[in-house]
Amino acid sequence: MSQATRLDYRGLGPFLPYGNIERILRDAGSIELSLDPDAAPLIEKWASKRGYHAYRRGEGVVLLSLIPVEAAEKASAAARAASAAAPQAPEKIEIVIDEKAWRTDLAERIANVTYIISAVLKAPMLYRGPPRSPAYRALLASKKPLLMRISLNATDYFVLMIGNRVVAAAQLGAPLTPQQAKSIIEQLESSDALITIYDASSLEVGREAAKASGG
Amino acid sequence: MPEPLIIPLDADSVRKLLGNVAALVRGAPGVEEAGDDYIVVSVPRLFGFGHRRVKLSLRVYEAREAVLIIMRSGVDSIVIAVDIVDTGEGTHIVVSGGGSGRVAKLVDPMVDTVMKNIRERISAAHPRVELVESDNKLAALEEPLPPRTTLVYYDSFTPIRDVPTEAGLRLLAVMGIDDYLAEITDYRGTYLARIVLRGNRLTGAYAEIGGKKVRGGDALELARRPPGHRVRVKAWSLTGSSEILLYEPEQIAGGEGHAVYWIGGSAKLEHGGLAPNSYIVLDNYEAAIIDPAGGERMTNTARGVVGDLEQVRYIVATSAEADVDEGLRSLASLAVRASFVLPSYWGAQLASVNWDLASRVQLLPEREGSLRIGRTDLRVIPSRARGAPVASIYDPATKTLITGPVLGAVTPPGMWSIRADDLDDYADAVIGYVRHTVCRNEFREWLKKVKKLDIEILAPRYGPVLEGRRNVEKLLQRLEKEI
Repeated sequence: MSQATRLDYRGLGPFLPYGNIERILRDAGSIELSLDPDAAPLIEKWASKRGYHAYRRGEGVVLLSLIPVEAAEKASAAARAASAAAPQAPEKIEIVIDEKAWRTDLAERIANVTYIISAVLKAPMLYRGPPRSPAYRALLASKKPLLMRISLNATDYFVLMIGNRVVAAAQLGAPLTPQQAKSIIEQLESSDALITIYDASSLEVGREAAKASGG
Repeated sequence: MPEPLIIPLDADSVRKLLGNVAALVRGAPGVEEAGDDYIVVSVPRLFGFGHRRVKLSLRVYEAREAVLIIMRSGVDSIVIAVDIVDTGEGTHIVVSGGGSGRVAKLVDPMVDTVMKNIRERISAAHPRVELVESDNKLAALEEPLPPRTTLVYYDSFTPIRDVPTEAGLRLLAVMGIDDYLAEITDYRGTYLARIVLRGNRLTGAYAEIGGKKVRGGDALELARRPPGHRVRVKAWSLTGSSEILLYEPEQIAGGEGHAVYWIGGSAKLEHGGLAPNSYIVLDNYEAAIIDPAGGERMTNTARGVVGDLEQVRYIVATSAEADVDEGLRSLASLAVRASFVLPSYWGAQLASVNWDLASRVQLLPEREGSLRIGRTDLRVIPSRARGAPVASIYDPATKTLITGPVLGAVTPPGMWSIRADDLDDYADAVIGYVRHTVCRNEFREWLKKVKKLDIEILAPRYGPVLEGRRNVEKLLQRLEKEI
């Protein structure tokens, strides 16, 4: 796993700036906290309640991560391998709306809240954080079926992609058109939205999308 | 007299919804341009045909129950008064105006426009009903709630016409846009409705009224009619927000004649995880308010429990730290017969900054004593925290120990609740607090004293209340071992 951001909160007891910790964690993907030892159990319980992963790394040292460390290590290794194979990989990778391959039926499926709760949210999470980081770009470059959840302006949008190509999109209860999806992606690129990327190859919608695009 | 616009919100929330008041004059006949501090109007020329443009300065003055918009230039002036009066049964808005000079004839159309704009703003804030079956199921608790779900709001209001949408409007006005599950109940246990709000859309509904259990549109229809004068609203953020606002008193012990109430107040847990609690002990029409935190909302809540704040005999601050400063000040002018009871050091602190209150301060000595309300003697148990004397209050009638600052539980965002549900998690939160705030030797002495008491409810200064004699014993044992 790449070097985690380190924060030293020793001497503050349990009265910690939880909001800051969460913001930095979302930006960095993982952080290592140095705490008073008696604050460590509380932080671990809090992190797990918030859906983060916590690992004790010694007395009063807790590593928090958006995704399980094993998954992060794999993603990091994949990113390193991809980078070694393609040293000229672009710094920025753009998300493209594939209107020709647009799947209205899949958009309707991912607009269904029951499907989102019962299937999507249980799929393996590959990434959680801002729409900019090497791990994020590595995933978009991977050509894998991905389902990206974008939390923007207090609304959740779900975008089904094959690598960086969007083939369906929805917000809860309403499928989106390619034009609407384009507008969301434009907003995403200039925003500080929190995104979560799920491995869609374990989902029916992801498999169908991959099949249709010859994957 | 113009007809008032009645809104099922308190005045503060209405002001929040109205936002920039100066912009309310936009679109009025004769108004050509409106900025934040000026307007340009068109008035007929005195002689001859045509119009001329007049630029008026614009100022907004906020008064307790009104907002005044004053526009003037020399002898030309328009004054628009927006009365925002909280009647206790919704807020009434009335717009009136007057003027002088050439612009006086613009007053009536401007009053109509301001009223129309207010109606539109309030109406736009109402949640739109867009039901989806999965959220109807969520409202019926047939779907699992997201893991981050956390109680963020607990209050009551007087509904007017349509309970679920009025509750949604209130929630959005007070707490802001988020995803919520809100539960609305009456005080007789005959009415229960739940709604799901996502942004400003009402996407799920469930109701249990008169033996019927329905979801979706049927639930909204069944739950529409107000079941009584007031309803309670408890709301959980589905995204784990850090801000909590809990002004509905919850009875944590006792019954008719003698009871202990809890009030949560407001807190932003992302900064350190402390949510202060206030308590009211009521016995035969006499009351003691303990550690009152908060301003007008808290005093309104206390009034809801006590009825007449003149019946309050004691306002007790077990210490006088930052969280009770506003509460003590607010109650000073309302609970006019109450004594302010504080440990000596904190009494001296309060008297040094608030000379008006100094003559009403009753100092608690550093020895055991009692405070009588109604037919009950509340026991005062001294201790020390932050190096200064503090107090705990034991109510023998309900076996409740209000610990004061000696005990508290640190609750980061998403971990807060009214009552502790997991003793191990709770103990970790308490131990962290105790280790960093109290003096070890004095704390152990305090522990020795309180272990002799028969305690069924442990009511700390911060964080959830712990219920059950066995749970309390286990917590005290763990504290004895680890501190």
